Amino acid sequence: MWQYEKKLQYPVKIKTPNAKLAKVIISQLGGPDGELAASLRYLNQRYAMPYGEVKGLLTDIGTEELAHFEMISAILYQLTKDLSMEEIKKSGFDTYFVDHTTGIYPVAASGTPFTATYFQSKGDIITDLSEDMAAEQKARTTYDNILRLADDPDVRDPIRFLREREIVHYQRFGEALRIAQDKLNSKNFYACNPSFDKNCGKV
Amino acid sequence: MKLDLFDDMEGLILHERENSMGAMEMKLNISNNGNDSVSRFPAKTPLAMAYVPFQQWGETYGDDEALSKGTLFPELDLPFSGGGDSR
Amino acid sequence: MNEQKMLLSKIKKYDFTLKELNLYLDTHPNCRRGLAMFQKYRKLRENAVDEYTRKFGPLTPDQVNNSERWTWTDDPWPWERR
Repeated sequence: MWQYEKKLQYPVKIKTPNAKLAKVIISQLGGPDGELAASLRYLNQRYAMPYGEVKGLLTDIGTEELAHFEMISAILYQLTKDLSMEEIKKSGFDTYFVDHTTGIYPVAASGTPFTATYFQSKGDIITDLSEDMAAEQKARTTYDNILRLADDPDVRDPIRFLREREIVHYQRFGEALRIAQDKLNSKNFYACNPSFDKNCGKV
Repeated sequence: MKLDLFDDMEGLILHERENSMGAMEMKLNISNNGNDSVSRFPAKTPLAMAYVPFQQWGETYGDDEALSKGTLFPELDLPFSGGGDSR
Repeated sequence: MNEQKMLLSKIKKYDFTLKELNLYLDTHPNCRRGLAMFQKYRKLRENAVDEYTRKFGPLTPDQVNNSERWTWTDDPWPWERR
């Protein structure tokens, strides 16, 4: 089960509202490669994992992604809280504002609402870990792009942190895949699916 | 466009792998520091599979710096330089 | 920075170190040095959280030690500009 701690993992202290930035950063909230997709991906995949190390890792990274989901929400909250109507109209943020005011709602930068189709839980350890490694790279690239677009150091700082977390997660998923390989028959990793088949391990 | 940069592609890949962790280490499946049973790279790397090197315990940042950088491990500290000054 | 902010900042540093070690140990369950560092920071964290909750209030609902008022819902919340 989950416990909530009343603190952000990394500080978010943004002094200047900025609707244009909010419009792009929201992709890390409700977009295809965002923190909500990451969290739900890992937390859903963990049930089909055959090895404790991997169940643990998916639980722990999935939980950390919820904390990142919270950080992105904090960034968006602080970027939009004291916006003037003029700024809202000028920035193109009006299309989000009309449906949500300055409430937080998970959409991509394009306005597409969050959907479970952004992640997969295939029930095969090699497939799922491969998806996870790709997901971390996609998130990292998205953060790279946000860093290209954002000048405000108050925004760059937490974004930089979140980006680095993706790189660390990539390494850990890679190690989980190595652990899976170690427990399978290296003559043919694909002979069976250890998440489903009985007796699917080293010969 | 003619691309004949590498005459010996297979040889190139084999050399890269051997240089990255030492051919002897690779053959003997030696682990570093005796604290892990999984080697940096497996002795056998069959085709049609991805392999990430296993991190070995090494240097760590102090707790101040770790939070600020976003990782405890300098080896994993890989910042983005495309967006100009990072702070 | 006041004492509350300094102490919370310390807790965040300890928590982050613990989280990094947590993920590392998930894939390196027998790493002695990682395990030792984890135990060291676990104790540092426990002491810092004890001090913080005693002086400034709960970080989790089960840490409420006030019999007069339910302090868990007090402002500010973490996403607000403090």
